Formats: sequence, structure tokens, C-alpha cells
Amino acid sequence: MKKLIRTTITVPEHIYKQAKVKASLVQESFSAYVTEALYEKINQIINPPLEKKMDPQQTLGVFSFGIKKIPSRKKLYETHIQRKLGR
Amino acid sequence: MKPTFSGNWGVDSNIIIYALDRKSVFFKKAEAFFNQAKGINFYITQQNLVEIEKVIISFYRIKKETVVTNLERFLSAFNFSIISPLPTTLSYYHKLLLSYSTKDVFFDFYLAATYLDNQINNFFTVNTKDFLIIKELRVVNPFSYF
Repeated sequence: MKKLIRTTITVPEHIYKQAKVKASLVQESFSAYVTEALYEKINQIINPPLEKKMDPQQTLGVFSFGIKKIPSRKKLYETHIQRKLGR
Repeated sequence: MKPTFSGNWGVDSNIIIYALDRKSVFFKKAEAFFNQAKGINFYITQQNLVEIEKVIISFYRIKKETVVTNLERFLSAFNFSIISPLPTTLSYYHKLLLSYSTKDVFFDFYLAATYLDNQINNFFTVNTKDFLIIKELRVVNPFSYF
């Protein structure tokens, strides 16, 4: 078993809160989540990802359907609910 | 004067749809916004992604595979983090629902609660009026600056 070290770090409150939320989302302990984040950070520096990220500009305007007005959220969901409830 | 935005921001479905559709009325503004969005950490909820796919696939008859692939590429290229409702989001939503007397706000309030419960207090949307009543959330239409 790997030796574990207990340490104290100081982080901005909003980073701490977000990390706690994300750890709970993936059902990990805070320690496990921070360890994984540090591991990923260290390995990115040593081995940058091979897959080249797509140029953001090329991901814009990929469709051409000419939307004018997007239905409101209320309408989107209510149409669905009405159909499901047979009204 | 155009303000500089930075930090963590949620993004509404309408912004993404306009950015993906080059013939949309707001495409040029969406393009300018995303190209100049340095220093912003983008967040989007899972329910927003379902809404985007629903609109594009059902209303415009675009193949599901094409929509999913292009949406994933877009989110990855702009470093979006995808967030989900938390176990505590329902009580946050109820708090909003009972605090404000506006009618027919259920779905918008649940979306706002998802962002707020994930510590995202800033939100970009075209329909600011739907969210402005929620004082906990800073709501901005980015297209009004382009």
C-alpha cells in the first residue's frame, strides 16, 4: 500500500466549494478527488494529451437551419407534459 | 461600454443554439461573444444539453448523431464543464419557488437552482426577463454588447 501523507493547504473558498461539490457528484471522498486532480495535473505536464483539440472557431455555425425564435423553456416542457398526460 | 466578463458563468440553451446555427439571427453576435470570451469558465447543465438536442433534432430534423457529435465538439473546444442537479438542488428550487411570486417559472427556477446549487452565480441568456427576478443570480444577455 502506498504511503499516505497528511498535509494542509490554503485554497480560495470558491475553489474549495466547487471541488467539494464535484467530489460529491462523482461519489468520491474529498481526499480522493484532490489526489486525482493533482495526479492529472502532474501527468499533463509530463505527457501533454496527444489528441489535438478542435479549433473553437470551427465548432461554431456548424448548422444552417436559420432559427429565428427558440421556443421558451415553459413551452418546450409543457408540450411534452401535455402529450404524456394525454391532454 | 462593453464590460469584461470573467469567472464562472452558466450558459443558457438559446446562446448555444444561436452559436451553432450560422443562419440564425444572432449567429454573428454569438460568434463574436465566444471568440472574445477569454477568462470565462463556461458551465452548462445536463438539462440544457437535452433542451438543445430536443430543439435541433425535433424541430429541424437534423440527425441525432450529427447533433451529438457537433455539440460535444463545441463544448470541448470552449472548455465547458457539465454540471448536474445535486441531491440538495430540489430544496434550493423549492426555496426559489416559494420566495418569488412569479407564475409559471417552474422549469426556469429548477435550472437556476441547478446552477446556484453548483456555486455558479452568473448566467448568460438571451431571455434575461425569465431570470432577472432571482436576485441570487447575476443574469446577462451577452448579445446586447455586440
